[in-house]
Amino acid sequence: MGGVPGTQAPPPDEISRTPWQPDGQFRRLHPNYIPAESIGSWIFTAVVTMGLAIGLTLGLTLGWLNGWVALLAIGGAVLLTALLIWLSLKQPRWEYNHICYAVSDAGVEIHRGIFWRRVINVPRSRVQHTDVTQGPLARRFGIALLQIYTAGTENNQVNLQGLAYEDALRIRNYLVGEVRSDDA
Amino acid sequence: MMPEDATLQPRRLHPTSVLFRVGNYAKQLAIPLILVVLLARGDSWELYASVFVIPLAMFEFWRYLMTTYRITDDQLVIRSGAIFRSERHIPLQRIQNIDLVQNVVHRLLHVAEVRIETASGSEPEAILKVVALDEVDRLRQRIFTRGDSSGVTGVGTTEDQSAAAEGQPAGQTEEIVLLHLPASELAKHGLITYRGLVLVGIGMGLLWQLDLFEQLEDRLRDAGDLFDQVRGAGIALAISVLVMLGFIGVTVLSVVWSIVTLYDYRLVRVGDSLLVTCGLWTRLTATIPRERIQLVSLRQSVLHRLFHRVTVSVETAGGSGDADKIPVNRRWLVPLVDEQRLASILHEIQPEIELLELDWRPLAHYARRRMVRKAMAWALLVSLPFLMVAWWASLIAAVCLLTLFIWHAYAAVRAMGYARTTTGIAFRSGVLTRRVSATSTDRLQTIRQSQSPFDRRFRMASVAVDTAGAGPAGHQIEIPYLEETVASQLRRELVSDAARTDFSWS
Repeated sequence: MGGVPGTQAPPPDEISRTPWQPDGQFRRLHPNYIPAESIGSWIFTAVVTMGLAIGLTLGLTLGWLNGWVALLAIGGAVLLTALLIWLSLKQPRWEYNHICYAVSDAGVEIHRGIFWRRVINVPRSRVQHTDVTQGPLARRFGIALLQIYTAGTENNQVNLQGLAYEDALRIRNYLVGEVRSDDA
Repeated sequence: MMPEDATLQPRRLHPTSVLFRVGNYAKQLAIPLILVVLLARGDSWELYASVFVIPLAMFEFWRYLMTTYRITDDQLVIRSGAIFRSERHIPLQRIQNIDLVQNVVHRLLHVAEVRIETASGSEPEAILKVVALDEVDRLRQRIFTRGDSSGVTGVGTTEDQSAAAEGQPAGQTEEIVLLHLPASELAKHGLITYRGLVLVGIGMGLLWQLDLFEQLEDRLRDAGDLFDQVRGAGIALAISVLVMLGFIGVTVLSVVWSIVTLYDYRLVRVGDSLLVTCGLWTRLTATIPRERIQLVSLRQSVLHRLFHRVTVSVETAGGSGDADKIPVNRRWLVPLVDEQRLASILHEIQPEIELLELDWRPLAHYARRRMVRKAMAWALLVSLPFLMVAWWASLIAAVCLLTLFIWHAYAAVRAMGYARTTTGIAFRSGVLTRRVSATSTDRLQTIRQSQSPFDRRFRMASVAVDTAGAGPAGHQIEIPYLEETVASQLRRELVSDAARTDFSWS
């Protein structure tokens, strides 16, 4: 299970529910991450299912698919739909359990990934600027996306989706607030 | 001092720019045109297209009249555009490099194409085609003495290089020639890099475009018949002779190509910048401020090692406030240098980044086992198609490939390693082509650790370091197959080192 690095325990929910502080403690995202992501997933599933249905109906009625091919196509479509539904049900909560972050004087550390685990560290002095954005869905749930821009190339932009909106603003202010000596 | 008002008035480019612009279009038509005329095919579209040169010249003349540039207190303002006018303002502070490109005609006329590079974007911010050489000097002085201390002041043009290289200070800063590659070195470069193959590829493309392949086939058949009469061995002999001639030809072509493109290569240090000049046909003059160097990379292929030479490339980036588009400049810096001189050259290029004599640490204990397993899987996979030929063909292929891939896996693990220095981190890899890349901690941007599902099974992880200039095709500092704890520890160390330093754009 994803959790506080170095221990087996997940970040305690109590800390995650308190307002954010730059204490370097690992916190989870805001719980509304789950419904927000779910809705997105369901929409995607619905669109794909509709597309498959339309494709299959066309194929069958127009006679492109007959016999074995038709059975395979229908079977494949059903499997795919089932998979997408299952993922829409499970994935948001999985992701929620496996993402945690910590912000302190040393910078930002983000752990994510269910099967493929990734950790990214952004030292505070390397933050060029940040953006806090909210899509329409996120706004309804009170969460936001924090985008941290660095001077790197592969990690030019580090995203953290699903923070409470006020927390995101506070983290942003914390990261860019201090005057550093590296202005052009 | 030069008169202030001279550069404040808008100035036009050099009149010969019309010539060069028209010449550019003509160049694209010239080679096909010549071939067309030689081979006497009169119905090709290229002939008709050449009629358009005249209105083109008029258009370019109009464009010349409409293009001006001037330097205000803190900006370079360029107005251009024949039909759609545009005005570009470039803050002088953001100008990092002024590079010159000159071909033979440029040099005869004492002009140059000026490329002004700033932080935003990987393309030059502005290209002035063409500007007189003494005007270039004036531009440089004007731009670089304006509150920015990138240190390239009063550097002369290519004609002045020899004078400056003698050590006479051409301004406030001293110039030191770090490296000069004579023709013999360039010949070695040709043999090592073998760029002739690329030219052959381009030639083939050209032939195909002009439908000349059929004619080539006929000629080949004629040659074959000739050999038939002489020896009776026919096509086979013709082809083998052709291949040998081809090989010799491509080798000669590679050597000539290297000599021409890198002719009179000089690496000069001017204050805090490095100046590279080279080229016979097209002369390139490039400046690289040392502090903009983010990553230094060494490359040694098998041929390099045969000649005891190394290629050095650097990745640079620089900038100012506009951090949305971080620029990337990939430059080879030193195409070829002797192994023995490498250390001193590296010290001059970027003393803070250490690459040689490092305490290389190996990968995890099970790394070799994993790589060998991967090699075996690939070998078996690749030998599968041979089943279509015969079962024993597949077996032979499998045995050969297994030996080859497993040997390579062993060598690859031995060749990979990382090293922490007092100032930075380095990574080496590669069996046939050995590569070493390094950067310093104040140039680290983000540090990444990742674990694939396989990694997790073996309790391994990889650590990657992001720098500002990392180009996609370059050698990245990405260390695979580390023990989990080692990876974590390394990451934490790098993070605290990076946190303690400040990254500054220059």
